[in-house]
Amino acid sequence: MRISTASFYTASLPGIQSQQSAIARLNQQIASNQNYLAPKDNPVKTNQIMALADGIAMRNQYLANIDKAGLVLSEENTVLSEMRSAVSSAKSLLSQSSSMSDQSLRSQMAQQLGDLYTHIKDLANAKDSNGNYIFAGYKSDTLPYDHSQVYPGTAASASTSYGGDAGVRAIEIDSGRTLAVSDVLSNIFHIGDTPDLLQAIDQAAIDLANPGVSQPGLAGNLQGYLDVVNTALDRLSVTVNDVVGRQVVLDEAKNVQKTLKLNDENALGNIQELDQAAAIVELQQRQVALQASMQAFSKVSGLSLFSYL
Amino acid sequence: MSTNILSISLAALSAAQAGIRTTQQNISNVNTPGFRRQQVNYSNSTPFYSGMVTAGSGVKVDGVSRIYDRFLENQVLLSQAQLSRYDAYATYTSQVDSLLGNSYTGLSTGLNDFFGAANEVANDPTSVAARQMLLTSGENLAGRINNLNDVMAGMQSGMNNQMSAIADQVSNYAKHVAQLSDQIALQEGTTGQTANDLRDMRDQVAAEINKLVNVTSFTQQDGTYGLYIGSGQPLVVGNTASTMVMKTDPVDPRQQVPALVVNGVQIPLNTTLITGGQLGGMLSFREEVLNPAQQDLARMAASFAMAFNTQHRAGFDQDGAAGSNFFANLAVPQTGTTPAINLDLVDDRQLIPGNYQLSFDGSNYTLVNGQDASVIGTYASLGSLNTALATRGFQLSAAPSGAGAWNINFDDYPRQMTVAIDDVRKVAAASTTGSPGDNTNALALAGLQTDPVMNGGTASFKTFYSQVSSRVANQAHAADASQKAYDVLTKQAYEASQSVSGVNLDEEAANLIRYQQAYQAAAKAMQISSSLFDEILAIAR
Repeated sequence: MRISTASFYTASLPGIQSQQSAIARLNQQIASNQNYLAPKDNPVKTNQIMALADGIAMRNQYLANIDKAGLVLSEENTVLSEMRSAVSSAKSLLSQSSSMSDQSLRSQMAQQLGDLYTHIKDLANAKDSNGNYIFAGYKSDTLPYDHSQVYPGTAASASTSYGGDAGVRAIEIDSGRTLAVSDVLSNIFHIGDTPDLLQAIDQAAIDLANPGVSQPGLAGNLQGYLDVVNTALDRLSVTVNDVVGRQVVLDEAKNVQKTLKLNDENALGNIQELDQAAAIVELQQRQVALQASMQAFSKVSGLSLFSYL
Repeated sequence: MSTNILSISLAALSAAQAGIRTTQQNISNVNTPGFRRQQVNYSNSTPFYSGMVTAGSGVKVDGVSRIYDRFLENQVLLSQAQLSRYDAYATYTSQVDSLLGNSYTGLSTGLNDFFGAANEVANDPTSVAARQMLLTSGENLAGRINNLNDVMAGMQSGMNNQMSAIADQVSNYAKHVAQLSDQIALQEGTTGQTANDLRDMRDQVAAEINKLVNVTSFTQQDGTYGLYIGSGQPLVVGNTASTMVMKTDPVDPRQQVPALVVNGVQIPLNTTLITGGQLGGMLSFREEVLNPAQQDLARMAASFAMAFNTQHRAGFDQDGAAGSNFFANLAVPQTGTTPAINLDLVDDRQLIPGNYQLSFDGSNYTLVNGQDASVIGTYASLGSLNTALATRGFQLSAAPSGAGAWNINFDDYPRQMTVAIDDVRKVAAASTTGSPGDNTNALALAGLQTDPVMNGGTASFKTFYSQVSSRVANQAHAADASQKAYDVLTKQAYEASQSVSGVNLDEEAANLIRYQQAYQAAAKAMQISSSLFDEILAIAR
C-alpha cells in the first residue's frame, strides 16, 4: 500500500499519544487509589458506589442514634435503679414500723421516711445533662412531680400534681424502626389515686411522728401506705426490666448495623479501590511500550531517499 | 525535417521540465492540508506522414491533474463531522458528569449531612447544638444546589458565546468559499485548465466548515458549486454565501439557537438539521444532557423544599409556635404587604417547566402562565384552584388571608433556594405545642431521607439524584465510546484517502530522477541532431 509521507508521521503519533494518556490515567489512579476517576468511567459501578456510600452514611447515622439512645437509657436506668432501692427502703421501714409503739423509735423512722421521700421526689424530678426533666414526657421543661412535704409538720399531706404529659420519646434505630428512650412514671407514683406514692410516704412520716396516732390505728394506716408503696415497687421493677430489655435490643441493633456497615464497606472497597499491584505492573508495561514506539519512530523517521541523492 | 528533429527534442525537454516543476510543487506541499498530489498528463503528439511512413512528432503536455478518490474523501468528511460532534459532546458531558458525581460539588454528601442533622435533632430535640447543625447543614445543602445551578447556568451562557463564535466562523468560511468559486470560474475560463490548487483550497475550507457544522457539497450541471446544511439549507451557492447567526430561542429565552440568513430570510436550524460538527455536538449536548439535568435539579430543589416545608409547618417550635417554612417559600409575594401562602407538593413529575403568577382578589383566584403571560384560568374557590394546580404538581396548603398576588417560579428555585429561618428555637421538632421534649416531628423530618417523594412517589431524594447523575454518567460514557470510535474511523478514512492523494517524498525523489534522466536524454538527442546538421554543413564547405 502506498503511504503518504505526512500520514507516515501522523500515523506514528496516536500510538505514542494513547500510551501517554494511559500512563497519565494510571498515575492518577495510583495516586488516588481509586478505580474510577469519574462516574462516566463505569456508570454501573459508580451507581453501586453511590448506593453503598449512601448505605454506609445511613448505617453511621443509625449507629450514632443507637449510641445516643444507649446513653439516654443508661441515664434513665441509673435513676430508676436508685429509685427502686429508695422505694424498697421505704417499704421495709414501713413494715418495720407498723407494730412500733415506742415514740422515740417511731420518730427516728419518721425522720428516715422523710429523707427517703425527698430522695424519691428528687429522683422523679431528675434532669438530664441538658437540664431537661427526664420523667416529664414531652414537657421536658416543666417540673413533673409537684408535691409539698408536710412532715415534720402535722397537717394532712396533699396529693401530688403531675406537670408532665404522656409523651414517650423515640429514637430511630433502623430504617422505619424506633425505640422508646423515655418512660412516664405517673402510674408508679399513683397519680390520680388517693393517696399517691409521695403523699403516702409523707403521710406515713407525719403519722409516725404524731404521738396522737396510736396503735392499733397506726398499724392500720401504715398498712394502707405500704400497699401503695408495694404496688409502686412492683410497677417500678417492671419499668426497670423494660429499660434493661430495651438496652439489650439496642446492643443487638448495634451489632446488626455494624455488620451491615462492614459488609457495605467491604463491597465498596472491592469496587472502588484500585488493585495497586496490577496497576503498577500495567504502568511498567505501558512505559516499555511507549519507549519502544518512540525509539521505533526516531529510527524509521530517519529514512529518506533524498539522503541518497 | 531538421527543424522537426529539433522541435521533437524541445518538446521532450519542456515535458521533462513540466514533470520536474510538478514534482517540486508536490514536495513543497507535502505538509499542506487539503493538497492533493499532482501529476503531469502526457500524450504523444499527432503523427505526420512523410512519404510512405507515419512518423511520431514527439510528446505533448495535456495538463496537470490531481490524484484523489472522491469516495474516500467523502468518507473522511462524514466521519470527521461525527468526530467533531462527539468531541464537543463528550467534553461538555464529562464536565456535567464530574460536577454531579463529585463528592464536593454533588448533592449526595449534602443530603446525607442534612438528614444526619435532622436525626440529631430527633435524638436530642432541646439541644441548641443539634438545632444549629440542622440550620447550618440546610444552608450548606441549599448552597450546593445554588452552586450546581450556577455552574450549569454558566455552561449555558458559555455555550451561547461559543456557538456565536462558531456561527461567525462558519459565515466567514462560507464567504471564503464563495470567493474561491469566483476565482476558480475566472481562472478556468481564461486557461481552459482545471484550477487544481484553488479547488484544493476550496475543498479544504469546506472541510473546515464541516468540522464546525456538517455540510454536503453539490456541483450542479452548469458547474455551480454549493454547500448545504441539513436537508438542503444553502450555506453557499456559487459566489453567494449565506450568513449563520445565533438568535434567542423563542421557547427558552435563556438559550440561543442558530439560524441561516439566506437572501435576508432567517431559516432556524435545529438538531434535526445540524447532525454533526462541533455545533451539532453542542446543540445535542444541550438538548440531551444539560437542559434535562438543569430541569431535574430544579424539580428536585422545588420538591425537596415543598416536602420539607410542609412537614416543618406541621410541627411546633421550641416556643410552642406553629412551624414556619424551613426553606425559602416558592410562592413569593409580588408586593411587601401581600399575605403569605404556602405550597404543598402533589406530584413532582408535573412540576417542571413551570413559572406562574397567581392572584387572589378576595373571592376569585387567577392563574397566569409566567412564560407567555397567558391566563390559565380563573377559579371561584380554593378547591377548584387546587384541582387545577394539582395537575401542575402542587397545591395551596390553605386559602390566603386576604387579596394578593404571588410569583411561583420553579425553574429559578435552585438559584434562590436558602434556609428561611435563622433562629435555632424556630426548628419545629415537636408535634404538640408547648412540648420541648417532643421529637415526633423531627423524626418525621428525618424520615424524609428515605420517604419516596420523587418520581410520583416512587423514589427518595437520594435515589432520584443518583438516577440523574447515573443517567449523565451513562451519556458521558457512551459519548466517550462514540468519540473513540469516530476517531479511529476518521483516522482510517484519512489514511486511506491520503494513500491515494498524499505526497510521498520517496516517490517524488524517484520521479525527480526519472524526469532528470528524461531531460538529459532529450538534451542529448538535441545535441545529436545538432551535430548531424553540422556534418552536412561541413560537406558543403
